[in-house]
Amino acid sequence: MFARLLVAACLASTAFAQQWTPELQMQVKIVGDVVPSPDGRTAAWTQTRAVMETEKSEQITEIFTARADGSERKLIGRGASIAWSPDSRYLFYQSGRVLWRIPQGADAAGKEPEAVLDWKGGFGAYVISPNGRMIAFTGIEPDVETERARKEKRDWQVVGANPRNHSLWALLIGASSKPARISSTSKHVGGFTWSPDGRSIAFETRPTPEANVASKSDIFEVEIASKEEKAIAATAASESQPRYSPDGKYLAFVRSSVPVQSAGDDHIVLHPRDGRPERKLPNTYDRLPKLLGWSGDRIVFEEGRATRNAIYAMPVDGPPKLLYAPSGVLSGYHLNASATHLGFVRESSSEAPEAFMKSVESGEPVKLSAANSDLPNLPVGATSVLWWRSKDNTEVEGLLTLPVGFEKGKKVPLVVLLHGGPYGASTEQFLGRPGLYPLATFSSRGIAVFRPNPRASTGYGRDFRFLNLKDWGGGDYEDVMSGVDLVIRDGVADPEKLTVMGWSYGGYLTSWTISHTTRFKAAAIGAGVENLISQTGNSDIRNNKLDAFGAPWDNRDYYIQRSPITHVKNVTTPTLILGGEQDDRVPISQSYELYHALEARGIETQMVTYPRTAHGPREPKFQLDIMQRHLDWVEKHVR
Amino acid sequence: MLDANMNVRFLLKKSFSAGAAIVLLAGSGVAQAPTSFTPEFAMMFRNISSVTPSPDGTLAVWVESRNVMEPERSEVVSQIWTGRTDGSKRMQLTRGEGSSTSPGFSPDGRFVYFLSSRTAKQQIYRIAVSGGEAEALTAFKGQLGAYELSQDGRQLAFWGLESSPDDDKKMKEKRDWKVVDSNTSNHSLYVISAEADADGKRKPRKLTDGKFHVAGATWSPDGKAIAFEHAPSPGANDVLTKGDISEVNLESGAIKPVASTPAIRTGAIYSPDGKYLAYQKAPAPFKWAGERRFVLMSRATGDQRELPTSFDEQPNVIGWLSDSSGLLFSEGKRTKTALYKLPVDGPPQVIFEPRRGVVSGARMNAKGTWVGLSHETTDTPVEAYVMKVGTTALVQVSRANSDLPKLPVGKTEAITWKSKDGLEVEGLLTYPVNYEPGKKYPLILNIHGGPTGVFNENFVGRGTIYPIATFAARGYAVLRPNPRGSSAYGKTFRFANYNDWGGKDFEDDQTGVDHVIAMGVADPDRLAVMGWSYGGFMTSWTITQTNRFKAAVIGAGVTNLWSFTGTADVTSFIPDYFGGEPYEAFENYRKHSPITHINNVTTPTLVLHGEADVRVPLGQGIEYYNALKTRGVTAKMVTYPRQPHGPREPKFVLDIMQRHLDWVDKYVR
Repeated sequence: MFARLLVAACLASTAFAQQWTPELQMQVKIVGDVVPSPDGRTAAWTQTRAVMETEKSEQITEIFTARADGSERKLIGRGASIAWSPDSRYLFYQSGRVLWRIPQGADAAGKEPEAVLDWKGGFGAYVISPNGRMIAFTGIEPDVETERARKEKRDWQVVGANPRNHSLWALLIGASSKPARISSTSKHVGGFTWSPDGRSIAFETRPTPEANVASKSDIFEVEIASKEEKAIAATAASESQPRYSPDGKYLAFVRSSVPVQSAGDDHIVLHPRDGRPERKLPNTYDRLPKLLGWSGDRIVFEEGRATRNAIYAMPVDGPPKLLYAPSGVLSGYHLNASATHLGFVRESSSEAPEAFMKSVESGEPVKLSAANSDLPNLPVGATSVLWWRSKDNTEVEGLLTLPVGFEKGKKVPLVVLLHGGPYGASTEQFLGRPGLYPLATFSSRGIAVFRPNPRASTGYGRDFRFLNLKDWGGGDYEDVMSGVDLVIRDGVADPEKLTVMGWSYGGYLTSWTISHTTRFKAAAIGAGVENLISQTGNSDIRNNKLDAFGAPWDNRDYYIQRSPITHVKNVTTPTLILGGEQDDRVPISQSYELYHALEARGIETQMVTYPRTAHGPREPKFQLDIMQRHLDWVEKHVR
Repeated sequence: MLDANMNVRFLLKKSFSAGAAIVLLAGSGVAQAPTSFTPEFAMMFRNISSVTPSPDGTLAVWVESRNVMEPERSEVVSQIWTGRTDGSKRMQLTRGEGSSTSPGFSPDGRFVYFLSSRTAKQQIYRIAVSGGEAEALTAFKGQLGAYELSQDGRQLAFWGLESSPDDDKKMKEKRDWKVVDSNTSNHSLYVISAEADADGKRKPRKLTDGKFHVAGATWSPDGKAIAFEHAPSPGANDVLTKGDISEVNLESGAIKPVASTPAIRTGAIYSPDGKYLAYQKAPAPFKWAGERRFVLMSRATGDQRELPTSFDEQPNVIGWLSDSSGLLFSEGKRTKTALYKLPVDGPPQVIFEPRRGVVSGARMNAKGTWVGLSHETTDTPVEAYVMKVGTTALVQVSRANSDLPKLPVGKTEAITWKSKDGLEVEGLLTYPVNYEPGKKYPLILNIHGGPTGVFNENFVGRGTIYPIATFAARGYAVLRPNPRGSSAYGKTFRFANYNDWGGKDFEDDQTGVDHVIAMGVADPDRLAVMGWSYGGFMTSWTITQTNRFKAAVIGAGVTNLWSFTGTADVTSFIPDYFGGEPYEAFENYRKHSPITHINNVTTPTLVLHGEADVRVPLGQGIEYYNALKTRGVTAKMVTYPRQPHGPREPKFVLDIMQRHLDWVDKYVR
């Protein structure tokens, strides 16, 4: 009872909440990077909460620390991008444009943070050197000329000119010296890492920061003293994620297939630094490994695994072994500098995200954070994994969330939610998360949610992911429809109360769906691709259409036939259309094309645009509005 | 760049009223003046508009607009000038950093009413004709569009959008999502008294409820009624195609429709004797190429009758003759313009046609006895003129551009040729400065927008996007054709490119180029093509059909008719021209889109586009540019922040002129 009162006090606006609402979902905190200290005795992590007081609408991120046993939880303050000094005595973090360090440990009580770097230009990321005396970072000096041109209204933009390439910089900590540039400005530097002896830095580089050339990544190494650069891996493949072995003998990295394909087909490569030939390591299950680092002679990596993910270890002589595979989903995972501990965020369909750490070798994870322990203990619907065979017999999986208090035999309205990508997946993340789709609220309000992972989804291996390369709106659509049939056949969904929604590629597939079937009573499309020709002409990642479909001028009929807008005369479903006004990925013009066609045809539709918003809406008041609109649109048409 | 290369000086001058006024003057050292045309020089010419004679015909007011480009400014500033109708006693009436526009005389001729943005928001002001302090008549919170003074001068009608405290709050609180087509921005009609009440206030009376958008209004002679034009929303598609006319009774506030069909109706105006209301209508169904007829409504009986059509069926009404016997209108006539009289019972008659050049913006005084207008020719910059009705003598009243050096601009002449199918087509050919017969010159094909635009005989040295005079000064010939689809050649000609963009209109342009080559003027190996809007469509189309051009510049061009139709503010435009929505007439959209034929392009192409263009959205330029770039064709794209379909900020206009020059110099010279 006492606890209940406390909760009420904390959640003034939703006191005594009886069920999930979009407002309550906005109060769920997102836990970010969990970084254990090198000595394994403590860890730091971030928590992000939505602030929506009167004129505010922002996500605020704060840093917390706790001891490895979960005790002495402490708020450090606002900031992000946390890192530890090698001796574990300082915690580094960024707040605003300043990089700070704050003393930690027994003698740190009462000590103030001190500024390490105040960088006025563009900033990428920083890494502390192995001896703790330097930091390296990526960034670009302030662009005085552009600023002046803006003031003087001479701010025309020559497309693609003067890319804001980030260089590598090095800075001696605590000295009064200025950062020194250690890489050329002619290319853009992405991720990077120090060699264990502190003499070199291996870094990812590509022609410009533009998303469209992200696949043109190579790996170079620069010797800090001489600033001499040499290519480590610079082939037609995309090479990324350099990681030195602790003894400095190897550099491991990830290499793509040739030609690079946006669906992704990556493997780990071992590059001996003594000049011996490099070696491709055995394939991983999903062929999309994300490297955390080395632990002894093993490379630790994360990868999607159906509706979950897992941490693996790849010995230099392979094959990979599972290191940690919990029931649920991991994020914000880090290996500490001494490779003794893993930090991560864990959540499941029914458990809100929290920070954990565990020994790499053994033992149970210890919960560090209490980010969401104040939430009222409201039930969410049960979520289960379904699998079925699609029209062409391909096995497909998906998540079905039943309404809270579901009674077998009673058919309920169904929301079919289609994920983006297409190289993404619906996973067992917490249903109460804030975002665009109020899953917990749907389940609280008697609506079931079906989230299929049709072909092209990640987490099901390379071949499955490549199945819709030239087949958008084909097999993927059948995968979804056959899944919906199953949910109906199982007696869960009322076939007269079906709705469909999705963002990005999920918006594409939603548009495609309503132009090929009238079984859905309502649809909601967010930042959806409607016209593959104009999308390919406008998107910041147009190259990935070229690699998947061929160029529009060579394959015009495919582009026309597979564009939902081509079939718009078949649509009868009432459709809500949402999009961000600053979206470079799927420009808002895609949404207008659909909206104007539906308007002209007299189909019930509403379009809402969000200012200042890119491909994924971030401002909390917008997220809340979007959740509410999804809920209202569904309830208006199927309740 | 501006400071180093300009041969003129900016003089900073303090003004009495509102802070610093920036005056752009030719340097006193005329010796330093440029010796040949440059884009910078072109930007120094002032524009003229709203030339209005006083009721008794002794005075005139007009607006002079100049480009202000001192360090952090880039805008056009307009001020009101006055002078006697015999051309004497010119005086600048308004000053200040903000613009003053839309001047109108009080019936007694003592005051000039005008709009000014001297404070944050545009308001109505008046100032004594002799000068002095201006008095603000409104303190409208929001966007005040325009005003109209009653004929007895005792009341003013204005229309605008009151800002909603709710919207401001939503913006501040970041709840500013937009529901598309939720029409919350309709302008309403208001009336105020010309004289303040005992408390010194003029409280606006709101006459419409915001359920429709008010786009124009006019007073009945007795001041008892206002006829106003309205549309379902302020969206371009609605305003341009769904206008209606209603009349509001000032006493009762009752509103009755005068004309409401799906066709556009525009420009209502009462006869001085109050017997008629004249307006223009477009026949249904609405066609985007445009056709308008005058309708005369008897206010006694409500009977309406159409008057005979004009030559181009696109008349611009000037006003009623003082005896209510007919209307005056102006209309484009090939590369010129003419003024016409339309008697209430007869066909239109030309009353004035300049020997050279064009007249524009004609306005009548309140008594219907004088006309004010702007006049320019291909080699003479624009000035304000007045003309007494019944005469044909123009009297120049302004000297806006007379201090600028008279630099050679190249001779411009109208030429005609036969297109591929035998149709006669006309265009303007500007010869290079110091043209030598027998010598071949590089030729620029410049294509106008619309497609219902027209190249007419206005001054080639104007500071606009295409530096025609500078091209001529640098040894280029410029052909500006009026292909089928253009205005000023009659309705049949204007409607001749329906379902055929890129077809016979393209042939009209190309046969024009052939003709200039055959004349011995143009060098066939040194051709460039450029155009804005539909001109950008035709440019992007042209380089998919021929590789005869060595350079191309596409400004705000339509390149994909399909995606254009789904994203433009004029949603019904292409469906009208191409026989249906994309899902009804897809093959037309595919076939006539330049992007469909992008495989053929080899011409080095510069793509220019405004980032705030809702008419031809930026995506049209990007689609084309990215395709060229991916295919390895030499291409460059420049975008202009804050700019709608026509770039406005002078620094951008100057940059665009310079880029046109540089691109052509690089690939054609």
